[in-house]
Amino acid sequence: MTLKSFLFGMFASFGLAWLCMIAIPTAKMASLPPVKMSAEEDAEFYQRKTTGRVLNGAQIYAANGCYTCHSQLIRPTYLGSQIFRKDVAGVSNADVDTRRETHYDDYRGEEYAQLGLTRMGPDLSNYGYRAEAYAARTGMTAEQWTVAHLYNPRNEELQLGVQGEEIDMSWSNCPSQLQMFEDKDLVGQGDSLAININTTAMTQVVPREQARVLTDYLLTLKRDSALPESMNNAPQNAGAAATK
Amino acid sequence: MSTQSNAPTTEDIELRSEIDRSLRHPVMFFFTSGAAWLAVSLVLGIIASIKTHNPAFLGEGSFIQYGRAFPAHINALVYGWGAQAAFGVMIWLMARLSRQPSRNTGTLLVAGHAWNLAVIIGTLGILSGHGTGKHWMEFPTFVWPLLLASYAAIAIWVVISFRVRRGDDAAYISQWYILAACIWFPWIFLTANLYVNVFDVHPLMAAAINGWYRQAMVLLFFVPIGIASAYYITAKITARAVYNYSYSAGGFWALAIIAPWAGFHAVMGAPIPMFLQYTGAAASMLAAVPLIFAGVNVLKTTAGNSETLAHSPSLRFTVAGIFGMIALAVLGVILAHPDAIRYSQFSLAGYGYDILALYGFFSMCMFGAIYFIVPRVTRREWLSRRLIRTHFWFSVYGVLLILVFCTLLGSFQQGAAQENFNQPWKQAVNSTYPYAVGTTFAWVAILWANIFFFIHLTLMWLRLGRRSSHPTLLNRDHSAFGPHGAEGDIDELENAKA
Amino acid sequence: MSNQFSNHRDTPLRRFSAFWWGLAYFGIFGLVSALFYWQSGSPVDAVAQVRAADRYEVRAKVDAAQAELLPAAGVTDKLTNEIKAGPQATDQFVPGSESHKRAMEQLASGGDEGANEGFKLYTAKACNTCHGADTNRPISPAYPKLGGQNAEYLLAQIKDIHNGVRTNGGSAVMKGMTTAMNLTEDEMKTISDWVATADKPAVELTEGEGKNLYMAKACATCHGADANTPIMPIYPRLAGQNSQYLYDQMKAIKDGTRANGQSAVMKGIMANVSEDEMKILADWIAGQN
Repeated sequence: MTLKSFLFGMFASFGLAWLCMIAIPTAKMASLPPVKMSAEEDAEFYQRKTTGRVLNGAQIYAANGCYTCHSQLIRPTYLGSQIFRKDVAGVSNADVDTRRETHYDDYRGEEYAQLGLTRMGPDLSNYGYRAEAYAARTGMTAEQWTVAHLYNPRNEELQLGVQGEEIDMSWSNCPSQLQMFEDKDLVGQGDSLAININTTAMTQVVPREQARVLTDYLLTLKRDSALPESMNNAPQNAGAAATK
Repeated sequence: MSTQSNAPTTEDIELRSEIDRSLRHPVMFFFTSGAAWLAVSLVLGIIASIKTHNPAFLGEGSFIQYGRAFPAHINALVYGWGAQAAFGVMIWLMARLSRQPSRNTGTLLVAGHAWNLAVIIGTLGILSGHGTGKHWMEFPTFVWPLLLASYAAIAIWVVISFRVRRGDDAAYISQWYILAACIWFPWIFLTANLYVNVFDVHPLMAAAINGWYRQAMVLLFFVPIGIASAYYITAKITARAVYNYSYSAGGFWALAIIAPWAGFHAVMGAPIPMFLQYTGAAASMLAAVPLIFAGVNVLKTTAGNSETLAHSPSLRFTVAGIFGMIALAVLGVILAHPDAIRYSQFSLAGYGYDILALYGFFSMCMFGAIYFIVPRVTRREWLSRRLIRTHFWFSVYGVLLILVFCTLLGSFQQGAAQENFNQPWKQAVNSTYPYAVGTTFAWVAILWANIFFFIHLTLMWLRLGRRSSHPTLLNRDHSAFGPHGAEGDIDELENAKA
Repeated sequence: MSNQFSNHRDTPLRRFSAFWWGLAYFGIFGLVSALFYWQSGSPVDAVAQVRAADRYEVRAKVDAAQAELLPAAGVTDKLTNEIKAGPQATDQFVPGSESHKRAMEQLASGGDEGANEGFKLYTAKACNTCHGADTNRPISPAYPKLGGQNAEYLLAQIKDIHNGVRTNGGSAVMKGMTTAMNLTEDEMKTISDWVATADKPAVELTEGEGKNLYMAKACATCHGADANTPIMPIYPRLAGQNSQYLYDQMKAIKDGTRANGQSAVMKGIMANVSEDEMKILADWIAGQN
């Protein structure tokens, strides 16, 4: 082949794929219509909370590599069964079942959809609900629980089971984000999010801005609004399936 | 059509040595700095691997936590070692095959230093908590233009030196592959960085294009350079023509047509158009075809030459790399299938595939090329066959361990445990534990192999190699074997001739 | 160095057009990406756009409804202007106003001993905390303005409240204050005398239903036609008093809750006044219509 035919062949082969797989799909995805929560004319639009503070939390999530172990994707049932795993795809109890697959608007407002590389840790799509559930059981707020988890994921005292028993969390490989905490003097009652309040030395370990912002981001992860386009493939009898 | 001149003329020999001399500094720079980055990457890789089963290893410092060590490891491997080894091989191979001595070594060295600076800044940026969170693009956002500019300074000189040799009717297949890699890299790199880092696109499309970028870097940059090197080394050392030219041309065009469509299966299951996911998966599976074409071609070229294979380090490494490529092809078929993706998508399989591509195939081919090129460029021979053998066998062990533990057994076990949704998550983590430990062992083996490589390469760089006219071969008695003529000090022999 | 294999002088760089073509080829997919992107437009947040459209609709509706309901165009502007103009026009105790300057001068210079003494006591005994530093800005509309009130009336009220004779409304609160502050009769007199010299609350009483009622119900016979000149010093001036306070007193006097001083006299008159009328009267006297 000549150089000219070579260059032309390269351009054609790459160009066609580039056009069909990158340029056109990106252009089409850029103009997706907003999603309504129901078919009525005056129905609400689906909008995730993405204020500046939450987006900063997404940056810290990315910079500290949380995506290398945690995913944020509930796949359809023909590609994976995480939708049935407890507390991962939504809320499911005797009264209500909001579990659903991920929808394309779930990431709207973020810069990059952190779908995740591996699942060495659990999926975080609906972490907000899990944090609230843990918080209810341990008597902390969801924020306090999350901050404590960031400080020491292997902290047994945090993890309470169904009957309030401690669960062994030593299996967790999540790194302690110690760089997001600092020692401060204990003044008055101590920060509400403080980890170790040491009244003899009068110091406390307090989360830095990074930890607070990351916590804000994590607690907004609730992707189970009832969008008509996202099918809820959970079995009809949620209670029975969960106990099988 | 590659024609081997049976009796090289004196002019040709002189031209070849002139090319080697002219390229000594840039080529050695790329190889040694690449090897240094390989060392950094291996250390970070071991730390990251240990953190997957022992997170308190070396304390809980933020610099080495898994979320930073692992991206730093991969990016150092890709841009620090992989790209620079590729550059070194590219410039030398194109110059030799086109018979064009290089006159721009100053530019190449400056560009090489600039590339290294960018990679240093990028790696430190990731470790200090400024990574971007986009896999294989975790360097802070301002780094990529510097990488592209240094790359341009290097690749343009490679492209410019492309010539069809006088007396040949067509260019060598390796030249086409190198030219293609030179052109594909900026296309891939620019597309991915513009769409993901510059333009404001839908977040899911950004993630999808990132997945495409990773597969395209493997299939359209590392694979062509590895294949180019493999074709050259095997043809040169076995002193044979490539087995079948139609296979090589067909393989090349098959790669060019199929590979750009591949990669979107990384985001399978995400709410992006079905067309993208499944085309990406299909193309990744079909990409096995050009790889197998090239693999068969290379292996057939070496067929029946088991003695040469036993003696020559370059050939041994290259053939091992080609087997790695065939394993990569098969693995690509397995891992791209939607039924397997169910288990392997969020497991260590993706990492295992990347490492098989980057180390099991590409690095082995590069080692083969390095063992071939460095003596010619420094006019010294490798010092110890034992070091080379250790390098080879421990690399092979490491690759096999990764293939078995990380990519095959570990990932599907992990995936199956994840799919078992009635069991608590602890189960999925505990079932991965043995395979994570196995992966760590693999990296230790690879580090062990490469420690000797670094030592060896450094000595060669300092021109402390053997001053012999005979190459260092892997078996002791070779004097009666091969066309090297009388053995003696290389400089003395030359002075005697002159 | 040229040889039989190639001419080294012949490089594409020397053929400049080839160089530019090469560079273009190098970056062509970057350029085409940029073109495509700018052509298709960046994804403006469609939801935010739709919501913004909604909000504009709602605003248009509210504007239309307001235009319908409010009596005249620009009525809010008129009110705003009045409020802005108000303090200057009535010269109340606004920082920078004349009365403020006077008060400050008095404080600084020492002035009339008696007046200063009264002001000092007024402040020291915390009267200002409820009735305002200038006696005319009470903290609650149910508390009375005191400025310019008849000294005898003031003294009588303080005494009655302090001794528990008058108990209506906020009297208990005030009794607490006078007790806590250990007000002696001399102090009460000094304060009352000083308050009587303070500015009266400025008000413009207009014609209208309020005035007619005021006349019809014979209020003017005791409190004066302008509500500011009572026929006896023991009767209070009324003009500009807080409407709520006036209303509360009228009611209290009518039903007997307040029975100190001359209340019995007024009680007879109040028998003819209904609560609605009390409201109208209170508003008119306060100058609120």
